[in-house]
Amino acid sequence: MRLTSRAMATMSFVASCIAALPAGAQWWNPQSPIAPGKWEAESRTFVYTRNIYSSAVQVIIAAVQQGDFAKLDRMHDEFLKMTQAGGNGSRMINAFQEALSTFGKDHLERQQAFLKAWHAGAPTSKLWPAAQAQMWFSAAWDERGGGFASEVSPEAMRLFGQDLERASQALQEGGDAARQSPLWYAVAIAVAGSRGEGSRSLDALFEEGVKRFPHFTLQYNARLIYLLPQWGGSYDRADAFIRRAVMDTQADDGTWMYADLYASAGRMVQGDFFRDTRASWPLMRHAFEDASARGLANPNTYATYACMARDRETTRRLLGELGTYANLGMGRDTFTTESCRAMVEEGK
Amino acid sequence: MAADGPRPIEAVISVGAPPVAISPKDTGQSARLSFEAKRGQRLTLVIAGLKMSPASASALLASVRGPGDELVSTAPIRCLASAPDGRCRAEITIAQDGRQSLQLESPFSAIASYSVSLEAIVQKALVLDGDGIDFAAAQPGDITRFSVDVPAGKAFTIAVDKLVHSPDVESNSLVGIFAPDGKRVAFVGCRTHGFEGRPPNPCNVVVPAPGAASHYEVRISTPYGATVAGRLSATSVAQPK
Repeated sequence: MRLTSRAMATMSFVASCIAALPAGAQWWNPQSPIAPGKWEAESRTFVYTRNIYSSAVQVIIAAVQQGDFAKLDRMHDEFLKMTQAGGNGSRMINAFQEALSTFGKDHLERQQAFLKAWHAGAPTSKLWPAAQAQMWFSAAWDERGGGFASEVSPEAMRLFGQDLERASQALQEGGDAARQSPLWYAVAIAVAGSRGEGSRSLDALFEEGVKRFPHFTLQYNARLIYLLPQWGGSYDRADAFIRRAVMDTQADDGTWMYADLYASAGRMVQGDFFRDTRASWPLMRHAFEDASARGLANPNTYATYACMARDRETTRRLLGELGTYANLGMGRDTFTTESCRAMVEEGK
Repeated sequence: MAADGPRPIEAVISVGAPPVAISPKDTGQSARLSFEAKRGQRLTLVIAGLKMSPASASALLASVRGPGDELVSTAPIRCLASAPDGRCRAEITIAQDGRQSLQLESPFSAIASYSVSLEAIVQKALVLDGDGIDFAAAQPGDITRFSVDVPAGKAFTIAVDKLVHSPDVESNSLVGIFAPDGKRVAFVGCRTHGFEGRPPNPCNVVVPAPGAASHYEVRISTPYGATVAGRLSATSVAQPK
C-alpha cells in the first residue's frame, strides 16, 4: 500500500469553517477584534469566519509549545460544548486534530515531557489521552514513512508497530473518561486501522463515536481511510459510507460531507480520481456549492476537483474568482494552476 | 462516475406568469424549466417557499442556459432553505434569442419543494427635477427600480423622503445609482432609527455630473426582513456661478 505518512498522520481535516459561537467564546483568540469581556457584556452570538478556525489552530500549537495545558483543556472543553450543540460551531474542535497532528518524532522528547507534565498537572483532562495517542501515532508514521509496505525496512516497520502499540496503550489508559472527547474516537480508529485491526473492530469504535458525538465529523474521515482499496476495502464500500455520512450530517452540513470525504479519499488516489472511484462530479460540485453558500469551501480545493473533472465552466469561474490566490493541485503533480488554466483555454 | 439522480421534472414557464410549484416525489429529483426570452432581456428569478427535507443546510442550485447551451448566469444561484421565507432572488440577462433552460438542482440526499417564477425587470421613469414618485416594495428582498435621464455636465441628488420600514427594523435600506455599464456610481444607506437620541441622517446622495448625457438606474433594496416605502426624487444640484 502506498501512502503519504503526513496524510495518514493527519488523517484529514476541514481547513475552513464558519461557526456561530456563544458569547465569550473568543477569550483565547488574540486576533479577535472584540476586546475580552465585551462579548460577555453584550451577550451576543456571531458568525465566525474560517480565519477564526485558523487562529484556533495557531493558538493550540502555541499553547503546546508554551506548555500551557490549562489553556488547551479550557479551549477543548469549550469547543466540545459547541460540538455537542451542533451547528457550524461543532467544527471548531477539529482545530485540535489539525494542531496535534504536527506532533512527530522530530521533537518527541520535548513532547513527551510536556505530556507528562500535563498528565501530572491535570490528571482528569479529557483531551490528554487523545493527545498522547496522537503523539505516538504521528511518530509511528514518521518512522514508517510513505510507500508500499514491501518497500519499508524491517527496522522501520518494527518501530512503526512499537509506536502504534504505545498509541494504543495511551488510548486504553484513559479508560472511559478518555472517551469524553470526540478526538479520542478519531485517533482510536486511525490507530486501530493502522494496526490492521478488522472491520468489526473499526466499525464498533466508529458507531460508538457517532452515537456519542453525532456532530463530530472527523470520525467519518478517519473511518473512510480504512474502507479504501489500499486497506482491503473497495471504492463501492467507500461510496456507500460517504453517502451514509451525508445522510447522518445533512441537517447541519447539507451535502458538504460528500465533497469533504471524497477530497479526503482523493489524497490517497494516485490515478484518475473520477474514473477509479465512484465519485460523481455533479454531486461533488453541489456539495462544494452548499459549502460555498455558507463560506465553508476552500475554493482552491473546489477548483482542483473541477479541473480534474474537466468542468471548464466551473474551473474558469473559480480561477477568475481566485485571481492571484489560485493554487490548484492539492499536492498532485498532474494538476497545477497552469495545467488547469490550459485546460480552460483549450475549451474556448 | 456514479449515476447523478432520478430523471428531472420538466415543465414550461413564462415570464410574468404565476409561480410554478415544484413538488418532487423522489429524493434528489431536480427540475428543468424552459422559457422563451429575447437577447438583452433582464429578468428576476424568484424561488419562494423552499423547503428541504431533511437537508435543511443544503442549497438549491439554479442556473440558466441559452439555446446553444451556453451558461447565462455566470455562477450557480444558490438558495438555502434557511433564507427568510425560503425566498431567493437573482437577476439574469438573456444573451441570445430563443428557448432558455432553467435548471434547478436539488441535493442528492433530500427532497426540495418550492415555487419558481420569472419576472421581467421593470423600471419606472423618474424625471429629473420632476415631482418625484411614491414607491413601496411588496416583499422583503424586493428591489424597486427607476430610470432617470441626466444631461451632460449636470450633477444631481437622489433623495428618499417619508421613508418607512415595515416592520420598523434597525437595519438600512439601500439606494444605489448605476451607470449604463452597470457600475454603481453612488449609494446611500437609509435608516429610520438614529443613534443615541439623534435623528437619522437624511436619505440622499449626490451623483457627480456625467461627461455625456446618461441614463441611470436607481435601485432601492429593502432592509433585512422588512419592506420599504417612501417618495423618491431626483433634483439637479445648483451649479456654482
